Amino acid sequence: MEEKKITSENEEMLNIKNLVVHYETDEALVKAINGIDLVIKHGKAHGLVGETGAGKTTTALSILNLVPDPPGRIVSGEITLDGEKLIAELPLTDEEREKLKAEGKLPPCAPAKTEREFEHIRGDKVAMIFQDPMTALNPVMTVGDQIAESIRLHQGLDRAAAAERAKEMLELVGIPGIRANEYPHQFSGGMKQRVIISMALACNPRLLIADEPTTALDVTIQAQVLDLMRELRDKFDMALLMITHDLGIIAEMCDEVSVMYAGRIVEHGTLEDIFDNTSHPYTQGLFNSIPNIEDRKSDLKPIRGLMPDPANLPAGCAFCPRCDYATERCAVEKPDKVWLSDTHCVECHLYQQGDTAKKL
Amino acid sequence: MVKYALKRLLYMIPVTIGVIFVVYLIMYLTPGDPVALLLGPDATPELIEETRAALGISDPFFVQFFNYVINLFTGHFGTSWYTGNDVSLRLFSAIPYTLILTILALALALIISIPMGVIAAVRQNRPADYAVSLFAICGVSAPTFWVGIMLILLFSVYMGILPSAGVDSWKSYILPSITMSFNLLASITRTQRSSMLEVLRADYIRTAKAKGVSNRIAVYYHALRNAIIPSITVAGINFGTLMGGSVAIETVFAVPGVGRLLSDSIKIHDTPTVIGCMVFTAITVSIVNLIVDMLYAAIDPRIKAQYLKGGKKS
Repeated sequence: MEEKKITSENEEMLNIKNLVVHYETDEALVKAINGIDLVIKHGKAHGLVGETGAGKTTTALSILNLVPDPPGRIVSGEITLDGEKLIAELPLTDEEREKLKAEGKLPPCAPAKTEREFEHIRGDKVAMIFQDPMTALNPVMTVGDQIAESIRLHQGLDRAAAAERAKEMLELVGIPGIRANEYPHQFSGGMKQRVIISMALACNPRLLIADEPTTALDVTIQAQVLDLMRELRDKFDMALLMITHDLGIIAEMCDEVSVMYAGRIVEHGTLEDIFDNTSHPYTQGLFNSIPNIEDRKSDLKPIRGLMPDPANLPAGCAFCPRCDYATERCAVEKPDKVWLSDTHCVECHLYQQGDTAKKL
Repeated sequence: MVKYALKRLLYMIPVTIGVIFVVYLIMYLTPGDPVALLLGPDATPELIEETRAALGISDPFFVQFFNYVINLFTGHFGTSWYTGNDVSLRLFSAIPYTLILTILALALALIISIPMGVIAAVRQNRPADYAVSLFAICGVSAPTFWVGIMLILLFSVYMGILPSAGVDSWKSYILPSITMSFNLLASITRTQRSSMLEVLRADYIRTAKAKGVSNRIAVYYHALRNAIIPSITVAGINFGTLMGGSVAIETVFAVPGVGRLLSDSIKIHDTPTVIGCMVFTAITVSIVNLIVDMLYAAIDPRIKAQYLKGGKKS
């Protein structure tokens, strides 16, 4: 039934189903992503919020099949981009499936495209903006060359035409085209991030993945970069996966939000669902950690404790050790997904058994 | 940039004078009388005194030193105390052998070590990497003269395909240049491997891949240009060692180059020839260092910017 749903809904730009990614080293098995589902519709902006280490960047890299391997491995799940399978589960008979389930193993998956096909998708259909503009540009290439490289790869323009187009892209993000011949060290941090944005947009991607695009920037520059991104998104009508730990950015930029914790999406919904009808104790904790502008004297209420070591996740709900509402059941049993409305779902025992009325 | 290069060339003058001073001082303080060596045990004291005066050895140290430097700047390397010939004659006939040998060794080291380092880094923790690392460790730890002797045993004695000594044809350069490059080759390989490993994990490589650049281009174009700088540094630093190694190698392979001339001259306490050899070595090493710095600037625009800035100030 699920299969049908995916193929029929071709308004989906991206569909991630039950994705599991592990980092396997000699010392430990790090379970970075433990079965997440994520859907982004064409032209929509989806926010992915969570602490450092929650698996946000790994999710983004999985879409491009760029999880560093070794040690990273996409263990299970499916990724579909605009109707085309990128990562697909290997075909299994029902018997084999039952057997795997009985052994507690996950159905194996493999890239459904060759490395060469992925190269054509990267930078063309899906582009990515990285967190740290200081290190994301090659220090020995001019910024113009770095932008033009992607244009030449995907649009088959010759060197001169690509260089010309690179200049246009720079001007689009507010940098004089003449600076195309300069090197990254000649730009400030905010300017570098603009260069990276222009590089990502150079081939009109249908999906832009922005991995904490403003985290490394000054607050004043953050607002500029966000404005620029919003403006360009409207202009190019592309879908956006905005990865951040800043709920303010989500509120400004996104239509839907997924809250990620220890490799799982613990709450998902529209902007209204998450901001006005916050359900998961972790999401509530995130909101409580935001400084209150009206009452500057009020203490911050940080979430106590730290995120569990992804190499050693608790048996039950991963948030259980830090949760103020944890019950005995939380410690032993993983919560299933509970739909609170058509758009809003949460993974928490507090909402199980259809007991949606029980508000925190 | 040109201004910077010229400035560096001018710096070579004080460096050379410094080298001459140190070597002259060492030769001056070294026990043993060159004249006694020259004239043999039967010489009369009068003859020895006469010869000393004729060679200028009886002058005080600083007079000797200044005379030598002044002569050098008028283009005279002095005359050998031992043969009485102009030093420059023997020196200039020896230079080509050493230059060919060092350039061959350097080229061989670079051509082999950089791809090996890259391959080891790309295939980290796989058999190719282990093989390269093992080779590099052997190369770093094996003494040069021993490698030379082993190569002679293998290729000249057992297989008989390459000459073991002397310089008769291009074949004669093969074994000495391989021997000479061995240490350098191994240390550049190690450097290249570790710098490549670091660069391959850099964010900008991920950016390049996210743009759709193929793995090969990401490695050989985006990463290599950044990762090659430490290797050039190692090559530059070790060039001096390479020149010094020519003493052992030219002796083992009986190549009539500067290294052999130097070791022969030291044995007979022939100060003018020793200093002539040292001046050649000092100038060559300085030039190579200059080339290395120019290469940095050509590869890395950040370093170039520093040079340009420095040039403006002066």
